[in-house]
Amino acid sequence: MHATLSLLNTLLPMLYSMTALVYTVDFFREDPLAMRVARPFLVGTVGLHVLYLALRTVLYEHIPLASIHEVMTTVALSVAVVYLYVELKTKSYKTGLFLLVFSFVFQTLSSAFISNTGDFPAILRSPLFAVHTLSAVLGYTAFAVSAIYGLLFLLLYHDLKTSRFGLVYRRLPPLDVLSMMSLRAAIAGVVFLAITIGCGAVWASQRFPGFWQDPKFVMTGVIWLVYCAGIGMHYGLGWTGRRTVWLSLFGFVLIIFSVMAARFWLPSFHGFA
Amino acid sequence: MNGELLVVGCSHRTAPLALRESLAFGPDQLLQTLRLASRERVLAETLILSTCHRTEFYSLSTDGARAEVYVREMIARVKGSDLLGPGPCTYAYRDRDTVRHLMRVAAGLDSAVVGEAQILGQVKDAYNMAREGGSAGAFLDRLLAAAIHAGKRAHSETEIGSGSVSFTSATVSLTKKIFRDLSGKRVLIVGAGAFGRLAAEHFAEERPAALLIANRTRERAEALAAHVGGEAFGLDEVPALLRRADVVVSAVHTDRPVVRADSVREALRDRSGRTMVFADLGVPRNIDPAVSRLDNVFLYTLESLQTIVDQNLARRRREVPRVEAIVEEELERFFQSVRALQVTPVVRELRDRFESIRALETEKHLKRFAASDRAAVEALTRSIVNKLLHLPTTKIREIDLASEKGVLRLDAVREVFGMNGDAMPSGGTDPLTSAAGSAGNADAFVAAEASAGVDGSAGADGDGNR
Repeated sequence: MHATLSLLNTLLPMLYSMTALVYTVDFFREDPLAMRVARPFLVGTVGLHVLYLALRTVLYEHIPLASIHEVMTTVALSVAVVYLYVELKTKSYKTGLFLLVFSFVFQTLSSAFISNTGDFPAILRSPLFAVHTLSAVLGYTAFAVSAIYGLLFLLLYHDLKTSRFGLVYRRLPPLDVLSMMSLRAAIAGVVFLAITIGCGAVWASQRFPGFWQDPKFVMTGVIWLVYCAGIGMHYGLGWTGRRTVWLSLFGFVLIIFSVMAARFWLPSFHGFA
Repeated sequence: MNGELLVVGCSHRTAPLALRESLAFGPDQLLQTLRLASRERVLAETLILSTCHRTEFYSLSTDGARAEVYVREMIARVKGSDLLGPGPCTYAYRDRDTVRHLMRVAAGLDSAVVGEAQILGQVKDAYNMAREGGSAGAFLDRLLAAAIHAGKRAHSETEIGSGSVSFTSATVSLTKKIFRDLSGKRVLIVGAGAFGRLAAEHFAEERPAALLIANRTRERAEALAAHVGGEAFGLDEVPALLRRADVVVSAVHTDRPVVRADSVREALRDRSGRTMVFADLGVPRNIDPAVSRLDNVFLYTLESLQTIVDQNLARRRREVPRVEAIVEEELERFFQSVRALQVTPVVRELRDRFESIRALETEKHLKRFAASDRAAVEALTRSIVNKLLHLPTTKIREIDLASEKGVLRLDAVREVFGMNGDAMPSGGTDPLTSAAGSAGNADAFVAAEASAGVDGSAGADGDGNR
């Protein structure tokens, strides 16, 4: 089992690089062969990645979220799965490049530095913690996907506004589809982050009195509220297009700031992750 | 007697619009001319392709030179003047070049707008007309099927027909880059002239939630609205209609903008800033250029639409070599199928020859046998002949007439078995079977088709004329 795990650990970055390459060729050249092999490549890579994480879980007896490198491989898979879902839903191959490149980067970093041992802090063995971390990873992945589609929206918006009918115009899905993708991903992120905050609060209240003063907790709450506001304005006030996309991007900048702050600048009990 | 396939005609490439207009055939005139050609029996088969960009006469006859003169005379009779006389405005192709030309036409390679798909339907219509007029036979059946197949392949396997190449269709495709689905959108067309009508028709195909037609003359707006299933309004109602419209296409003659920026700003306020698309197809401009500065508003002019049209045309032109390759492939396949048909009469003649020898010899010697044995003798001799012919028949069917060797082999078969019948032309000289070029032998083709049991023109006489 160790040998299989090690093999998959080496293979996955290669598979993601090849998949991303196929989608890149398809985006720039609309190559018929690339179009034909893109999805089978992605499905195969995702399948092997699921196997890899399942093996890790069985072998090390914890879900693969205990270290930053385990989180990275889970994020890589989440992004790929989210993209696969979007591709099946929208029948458009053309945004694969922009997401799968992140899966490749995350998986490569994870494969390079991940520790193949069962070391796992006892404090993190709670099922509540497992739900907390898993939903956090899924939530942040969804926000990242929302931000990527938001950026693609802005690119296409700019080209459409200035009558530039180049590669972006020809390849990207329609503007309202990109906006919808960004919004739906943000909604998924809000749901997962609500679970993250709820489980985290219950779990932390038993171990860290005054957890609600923790900077990471506060920042996460703010992020959640920003996204809620954006979604609320879409459904309540009819906000569409650039305004909601900018709000989503602002939320994602806050996420990056929050992660950096919790890790490097502010004292937080989230330091173990 | 050898025959030839011929096309005589003119198109947008060779003739000015005035000549093309004079040469154009309406449905009734087309049918009359085809019936005339069918009655006069100079041509074995005839087809007339008449569109706004071309008028072409396709014919299969036993004498190409005579057919060319006849076609020109017929035009002179029908149109009152020798409009298709020899000169720079007309062209004539023979045999293989004719087939290639028809396939190129069907594939959209010879169209004014390269790759346009309408021509494929027009080729089919021309063929149906020829059938109705009684001038299409087995050869045209096969030729048209091959040309239409080539056209379909060109459109399905390449991007020769992709992208919008008119301003109004480019407006629709551009709008669909902003709204994926127009079925929930309201489209306002300002102007019921030629551009407005085309835009309304194009958008109607997308089945929008509402199609609003505004025009200075309300009656014209009502007529267009009735045509496309929309609602009619006056031009003064445009500012109010902006609140309802997601897409606005304007094509009217006006000195002042019909759509002002402040009207759009007000409309946006009422629409909670929801996205709006404007296409200004008018000269001078119908829509205030300041509209383009508003958030979530996209304004396109003739200039920007021209960019899309040019890009799509360039993309289509890049596909031309691939389509030319398809045409050559289908051309070769067509001639192969014709050649294959032409082997069938040889087999039949061989069998007939052996059967007649067998029957003659059996008849001669049958009286030596007892009456009770005669049926057995008949069966025995038939069986021997069948067995003797089995291998030669199989080998003849395998002959590839596309190659010189194949043609020589068939000639050798004829010589060995003493067959010089009229049903088969000499492979080396028959334009239809010659790999080096040219096309048709009306007699041979019709005989081959009849022999192979192909449904088609049963009306060819010995000269290949109908």
